[in-house]
Amino acid sequence: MATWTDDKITQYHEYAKTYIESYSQRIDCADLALATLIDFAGLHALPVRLKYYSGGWKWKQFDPARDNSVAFKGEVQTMMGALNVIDNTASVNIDTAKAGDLIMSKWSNSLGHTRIIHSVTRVESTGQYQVVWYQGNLPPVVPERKEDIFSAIASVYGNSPRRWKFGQFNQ
Amino acid sequence: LGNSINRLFILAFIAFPQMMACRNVSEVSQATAPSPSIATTDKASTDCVNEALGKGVLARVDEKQKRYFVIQKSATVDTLRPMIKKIEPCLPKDWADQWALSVFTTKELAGYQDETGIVPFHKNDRWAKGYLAEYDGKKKEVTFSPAIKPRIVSIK
Repeated sequence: MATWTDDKITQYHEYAKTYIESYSQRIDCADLALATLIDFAGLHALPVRLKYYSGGWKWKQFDPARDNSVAFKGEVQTMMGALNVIDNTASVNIDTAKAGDLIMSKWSNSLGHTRIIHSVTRVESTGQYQVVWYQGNLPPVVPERKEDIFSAIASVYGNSPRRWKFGQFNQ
Repeated sequence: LGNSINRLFILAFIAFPQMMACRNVSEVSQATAPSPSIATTDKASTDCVNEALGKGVLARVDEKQKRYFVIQKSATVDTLRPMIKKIEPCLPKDWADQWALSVFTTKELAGYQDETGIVPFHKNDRWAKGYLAEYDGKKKEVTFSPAIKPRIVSIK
């Protein structure tokens, strides 16, 4: 079985950029992030393990040798939201953030928001970071392009972007 | 000249506030832009929907996403099916089989979850509880309680 190597992770970042800007259906914010990840994994026969809480921590696993990625994507999109995305990602610094990394918000104990980074550019004159992202929403929307200085984006969870915990997918 | 231009801009903003708001939402791409009220270039369609649904039901139109936001005390298949039938003849030509209907309990909740005007309502999940249903005109499906416990029903 293939594993998530540095090369595959680099390919994911490149893939995400094109995926989010060309996605043409209405979609919820977390679902777009999950679709980007799982469609890439399906394309490259890579495993995915996502943890969720249901009376204790449990795992939802995609084994490319055994599972259908489209069916897995549908199941995960139905059962997981932005707060689950937070649980399966780790903080990264804004100066290392790449396409496919996420900017999360946690509105309440049941609702959050997911933005998928398209590009990050350092503004030389200010030292700040200009971020372009795409997002689904609730009510669902055809992904919309947004742009702002990172520090001006409201309610960023942990005050930093997040990246999928690729290491946990190989376990 | 500068003053004249400024005055012209202010006049334009007063005269066409909805148009300006609509363009801002579409092009300035601020995730936190305030919720626009009803804004449409196809006034005839909006008038038609308003007339079909009655006063105070249509809260907002999102032209870009082809979505009507409406206000209802409750939402069931039996209440939504006739509402959809009333709206369909009013749809702009390019909305057919692409449009969406979002049902909320009050006008103040009728918006997208990340909008500045909506975020305060996430306290105690007031927005999520007030988001009663979502109709997808392409799939002909209604999702009840989309933000809490989604339940999908086909209404073909």
